[in-house]
Amino acid sequence: MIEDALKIDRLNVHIQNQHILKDFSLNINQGDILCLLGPSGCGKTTSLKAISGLIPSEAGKIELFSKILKDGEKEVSPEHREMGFIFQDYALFPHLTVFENLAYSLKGKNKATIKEEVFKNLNLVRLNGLEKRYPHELSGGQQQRTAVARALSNKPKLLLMDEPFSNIDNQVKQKMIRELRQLFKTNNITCIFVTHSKQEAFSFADKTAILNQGKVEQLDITQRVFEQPKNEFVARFMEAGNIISGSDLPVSLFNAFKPTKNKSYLLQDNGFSIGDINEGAKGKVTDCLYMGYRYQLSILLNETNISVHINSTEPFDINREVSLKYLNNPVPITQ
Amino acid sequence: MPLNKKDKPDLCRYNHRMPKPLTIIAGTISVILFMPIVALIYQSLSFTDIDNTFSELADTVLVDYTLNSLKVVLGTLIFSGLFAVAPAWWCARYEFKGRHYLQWALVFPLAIPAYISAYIYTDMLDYAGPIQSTLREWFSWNSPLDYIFFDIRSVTGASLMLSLALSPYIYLLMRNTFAKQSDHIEHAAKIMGASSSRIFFGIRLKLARPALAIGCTLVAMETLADFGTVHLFSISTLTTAIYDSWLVYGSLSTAAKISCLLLLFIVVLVLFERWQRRDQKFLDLKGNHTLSRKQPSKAKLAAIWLICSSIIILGFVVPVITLLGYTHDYMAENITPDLWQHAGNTFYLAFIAALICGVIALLLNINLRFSHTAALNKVHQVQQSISSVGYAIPGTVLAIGILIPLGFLDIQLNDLLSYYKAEPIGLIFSGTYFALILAFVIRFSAIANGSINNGYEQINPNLDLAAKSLNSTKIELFKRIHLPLLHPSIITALLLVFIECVKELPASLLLRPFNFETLATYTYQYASDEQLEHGALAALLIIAVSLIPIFILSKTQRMQ
Repeated sequence: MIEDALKIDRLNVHIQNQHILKDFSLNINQGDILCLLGPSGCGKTTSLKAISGLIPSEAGKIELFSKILKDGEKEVSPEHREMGFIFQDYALFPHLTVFENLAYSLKGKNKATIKEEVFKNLNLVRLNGLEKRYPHELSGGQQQRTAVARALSNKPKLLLMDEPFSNIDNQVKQKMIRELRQLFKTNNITCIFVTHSKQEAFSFADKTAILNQGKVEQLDITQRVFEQPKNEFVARFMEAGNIISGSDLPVSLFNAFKPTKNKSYLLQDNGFSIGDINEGAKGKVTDCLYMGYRYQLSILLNETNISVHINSTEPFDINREVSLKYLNNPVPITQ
Repeated sequence: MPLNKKDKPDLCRYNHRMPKPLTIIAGTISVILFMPIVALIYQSLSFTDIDNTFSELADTVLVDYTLNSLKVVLGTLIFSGLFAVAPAWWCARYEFKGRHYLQWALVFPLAIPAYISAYIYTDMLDYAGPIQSTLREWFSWNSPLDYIFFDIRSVTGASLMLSLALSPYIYLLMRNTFAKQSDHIEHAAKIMGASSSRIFFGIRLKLARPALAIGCTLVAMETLADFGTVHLFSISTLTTAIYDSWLVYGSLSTAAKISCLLLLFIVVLVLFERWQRRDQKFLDLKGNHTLSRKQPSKAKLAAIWLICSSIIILGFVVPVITLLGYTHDYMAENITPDLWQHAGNTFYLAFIAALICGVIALLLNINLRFSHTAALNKVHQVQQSISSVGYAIPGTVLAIGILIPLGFLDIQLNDLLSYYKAEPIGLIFSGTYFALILAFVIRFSAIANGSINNGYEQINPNLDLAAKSLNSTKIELFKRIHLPLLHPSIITALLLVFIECVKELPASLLLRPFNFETLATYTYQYASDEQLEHGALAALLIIAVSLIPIFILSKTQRMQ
């Protein structure tokens, strides 16, 4: 595995006088699947397009497998970057068959080679037998696999995917994610994909970068981003749990932990236990929602509402007094 | 690995400031297409009224001409509204047997040039015509003093003839608008106790106001541009004044001055249309729930068929049957070598003009598609807008605007040849097909441009990016992706321009070379000589060609 297969250093993009990417930097290793996650308008798609050279970027440096693709104002054109791009709507050429879509970038090669390479890629994405169909004759999943195969036909060193699962039904999404992940891992394909769904990040990505207003807030293994968010924005965006100031946390809530007053902490929703005994911090149930096999409670604790997920067969009465205990050590959060 | 020399051409891709050749070519074309307006304004402002023609006209009849133009416009708008709005509502709102055919048959009158209807109805309604003769026979009237009969050779008559031919513009726009309106708004009004008429006039019609205004603007512009009908009825308007100033008085500067006055009205109409378009997005209340069609009551159904069929019969069936009758009765006079020669001339010129318009439209749209900066995109959009101005200019005005620079070029070229003791070559610009083709191209580029622009808008921009990411050059992208996908739009553009060129009359009358006729001028000559019987087949040819876009439109809407 090559470390730092892609290195991006302080990339900046302006679109119509708006600063979309601000000193955007990240590194990924060969074979990694990186998810760019963030709220709408944070610059996710723009970053993909800037990496691929499809939109102009200003200052910054991009290096792919030690080849400099951009350095300051100088940059290599998109067709020479050795990257594949899969668009949200797949952008399959509607007037060309699956075979012709896959053969698009193979111009100049002899017919036998083109046929061999196209069928190799069709086989890779399990689309054999559909080569004569037009894009409108394919299901959403088949269109996506055609787009993947077309991008791979160019033998890219990096695959960029813009919201690849947004057009897929929820029922088949997980299956598609598993299949695609297996394909990428088997073939050691390095990939960056963009989504606004953290569930897709959890299932598909090795690493996740959280974007906020054109800047990478945190890049790490997906599990770590969720469980140990670097700052309040990441924690809130990942909906990782309750973010509470140390001054609002009673010592009785913890077993052996003493919160510092001027710090904020992340307390995971499912890290609590509830009892009627006098142990723990006293709170009052203000809301109770059934979430399927469990309840989401809002508990008023020292004038702060805390969200708590509890496995229970019975709902909790509103205004019921409970005793609350947090079983883990809370994660300190920077502002 | 540092950036190598091989990559060098791509390094500064986004940083160049030099305009590309395509931008320069597109800019030059835009300037040429805008030239008639500049020439008109220049001619009107810089040349004094040497022959006093303009001042004499201004002191005597110009006000009347202007008022006549406005009266014809007003009358045409009123009649067009009456002919168009109710049928549009019925075809959008009600479901009944034959609705599909009726809704398209209502567009057929658009294929009949107004001057042809004008001739046919004049023949029918004149003192010596069959209707008045029959009435005199029935009621034993002996002279015109015995009864009062509608005088078709009047402002009202011209308005009626023009509205028969032009009301489909309003009908089409209104029908589409009514068909897109949501039912929810009507249901809300009904629950609050609004009557059907209040819902129609207070809600439906008000929401359709931008479409009505755009349709009325189109009708008003076409009416202002009309020459054939008003000239046939001897109603002096601004267009006939332009024609007479040049062909009767030989005063180009007077023609230019009146053209500028007419242009002023057109500018006001265009501004009004733009203003209404601005409101359109706020009043466009289409939702998921489109208008559901009701079954009309028997009485209503009878009224719908009676009114709609009357419009179709008056606007299309009567003129076509009359022309077929003329052709049958005067077969020998109609089928002449002249007819085929003029038809050949017309189709040849129309074909060349369509090709040029198609190439220009493609060039402008490729340029717009490949603009990679916001500033360049703006420049290319301006180029497109300028290139489309010609469509708003009345044919007569355009002809004068073309004659000015081409006449100047001819004089300069002949002077230059005389200076070098060479044989003068005559009016090679203003006195040949060149002027006519230029007029067609300037006037109808907007149609080709609109069609190809619409085609480009249907092509997902991500296809360009996908092709780029697959190592495609711009030329390959155009050849392998754009061109195949644009194919139907290009064919439509060529066809529409071809048909408009075949129909065009006022500019052809002023710019055709000596002893040269197009089908339109040939037909019009017979009509103005009160001998349309001899030009009936030519008129039928024009009508047949004009029906093509209606069938295309019908097919496109059915596919949608």
